[in-house]
Amino acid sequence: MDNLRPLSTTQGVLYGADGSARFHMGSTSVLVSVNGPQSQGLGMRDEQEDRAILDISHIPISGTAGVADKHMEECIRTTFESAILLGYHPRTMIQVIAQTIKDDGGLLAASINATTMALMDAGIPMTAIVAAVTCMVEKETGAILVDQTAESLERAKSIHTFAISSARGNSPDPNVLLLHSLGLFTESELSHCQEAAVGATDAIFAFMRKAVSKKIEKGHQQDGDMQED
Amino acid sequence: MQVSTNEREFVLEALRSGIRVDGRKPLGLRTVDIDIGADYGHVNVRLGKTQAMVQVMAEIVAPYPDRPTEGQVIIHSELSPMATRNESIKSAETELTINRMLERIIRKSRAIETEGLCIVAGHKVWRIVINIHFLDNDGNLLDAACIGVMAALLHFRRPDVTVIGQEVTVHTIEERNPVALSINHVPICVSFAFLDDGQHPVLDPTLLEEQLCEGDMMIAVNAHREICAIQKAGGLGMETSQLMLCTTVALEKGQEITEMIQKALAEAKTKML
Repeated sequence: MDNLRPLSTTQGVLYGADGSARFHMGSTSVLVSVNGPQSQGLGMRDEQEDRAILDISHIPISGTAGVADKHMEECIRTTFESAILLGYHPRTMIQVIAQTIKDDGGLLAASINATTMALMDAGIPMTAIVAAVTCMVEKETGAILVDQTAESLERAKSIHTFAISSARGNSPDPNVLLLHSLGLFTESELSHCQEAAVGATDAIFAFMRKAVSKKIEKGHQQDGDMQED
Repeated sequence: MQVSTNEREFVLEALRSGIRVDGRKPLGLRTVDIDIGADYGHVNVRLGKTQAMVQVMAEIVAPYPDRPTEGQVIIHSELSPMATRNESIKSAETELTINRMLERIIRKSRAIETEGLCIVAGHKVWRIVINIHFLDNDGNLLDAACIGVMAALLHFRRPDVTVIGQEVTVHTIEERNPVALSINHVPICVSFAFLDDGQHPVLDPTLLEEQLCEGDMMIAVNAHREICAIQKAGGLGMETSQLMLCTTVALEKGQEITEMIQKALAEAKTKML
């Protein structure tokens, strides 16, 4: 946990949503609400006869959703389409709304982590949980750094967001659901980043499991939060 | 979602005995929770289960040609699907009403001194952008937003600037302490809903009460006992005596809420030190 910023999460923060969660990675913070599986808001043309569809909205703190947000929506959607058992709820929609609270670097990763917590809070069936982290290669030193602030990310030569599934199956290799890269990088740099990301996401999985256990222990439907340094 | 007849009758019966479904008296306000964020101008407000988040930002822009010495105030309040739950027609109306009311309460009533936002007359002024996100809707989004906006504006600090002729230097937080906005007065919005054929006005309606009401009224007041804005658009015709009663209640509640905001800001300040 020493290379990740302080993590903090709270589930069940909204009354109006089926499931919700806040996830903080350092100062970066995202609030996600999940509704569904539902038929409300689903157009006739959109529904699929054999599975649920995922509708993702990513809302920035200021202004209207722009290209960056639309891109993050796509990333989140494709990531979770692999993890959610969509076939269990045909002809329905699972609506995920991610609201940026503060962006201090690693927004996509925080959004994905918050989405995992919110989906669990909503009781959406999944084959595995998903953890994400941002990894960068520093321009000057070539150092591989994980979960950096916005200021630190300015000094990156390349930035990679990894979303990794908790399901390993029989293989020791990690199941990478999403790899989003920016900048120039070598194969070896990417390989090192992946190694670092796997270590970090293992820590995030442990943190998520602890958070959910604590919530169940407390026995409250609407209340359960955990902080870890 | 339509409200069932049973629910409707239950709400009205309860009101006739002087109590609301959540246990409040008709003119009772829900618990107000003002959470001042770590960043300047970031506030999270809860009014019962209703939740709104406000973020104030500032940028330097060219002034409007017909107002060369005035800064600008932009209010950006969109109803995200988090609050609307896909009820498209109703939410479009609600969004418009909220935005219009906030414009009147905050901009038109000149809560922020825009002349104080001028940097170089005719060339550069501050534009204050107020972003409002509705996170949870259990009724009365407008009042929650208004509390959040005023708290955020009072909390916000813009960067300090030095002007030499036409040259503008914007100082970072490390160089110079950021500067508070010049707030003329603090308008607070207090909303009422009229139920049971107008016999029972309720303060700070929940979502259920909003869905059942036959008319509504929003009154914006400030600590100087001035009325900044009133909106009673359509709906049931109300007797003037009822409206005067609502105004009196609004002035009182407005005072209470202003004190809550000041208290929250003072607490946040001591926490920072």
